[in-house]
Amino acid sequence: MNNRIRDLRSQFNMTQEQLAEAVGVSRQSIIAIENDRYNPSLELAYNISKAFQRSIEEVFIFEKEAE
Amino acid sequence: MVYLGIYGGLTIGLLGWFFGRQAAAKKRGLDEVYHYIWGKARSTSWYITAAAIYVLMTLELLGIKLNLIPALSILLFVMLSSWAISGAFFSMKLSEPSATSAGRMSLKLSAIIGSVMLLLFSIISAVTGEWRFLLAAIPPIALNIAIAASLARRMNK
Repeated sequence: MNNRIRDLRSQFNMTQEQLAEAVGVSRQSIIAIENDRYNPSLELAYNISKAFQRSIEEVFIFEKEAE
Repeated sequence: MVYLGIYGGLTIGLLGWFFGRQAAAKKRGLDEVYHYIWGKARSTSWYITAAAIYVLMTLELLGIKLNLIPALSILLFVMLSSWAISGAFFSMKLSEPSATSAGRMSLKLSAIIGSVMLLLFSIISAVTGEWRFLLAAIPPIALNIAIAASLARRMNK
């Protein structure tokens, strides 16, 4: 799953720490999600999208992994 | 003295765990990624402990006698240390910027673990004068090589 968190953060002029604080997780979690190293739960994905005033589909892009 | 080691170690461990969690909670560290990492680490440590049980049983079959408490101590050490090491490893892996760099880090770690295991069993063999302890190094090193080969194949895709 890909995401647009980095782009949106720069649009909103927001640091990783600020986003982490807004959604109630650690900065390490934001780094892991931003780098596509971890797929967040539906709840966290919703909270991140809400922080950017976007829908989940606008922030997270589902791409089926190559077999 | 033995009681001091057993219960002192337990107390220090529990205090470390408690204060560690408190410090992490202050930085919102006890989130879903934390639970994912440490749950995965616990699962990995179970596989490694199961392999260690198998190794100890093989050594028994080869005629190396181990008493109950030393055998349990070895298993406890293997379980706790593999839990801590794999937890730290998964934490670092999730912080890597790309899948390729995470794969490279895994390969390096595999090489280090393999070398440490070989060294450890060589030392045990030398200290006890029992060469058959070296045989116990074969399963974990073979498993390590298989994991490293699988990682390398995935990175080349």
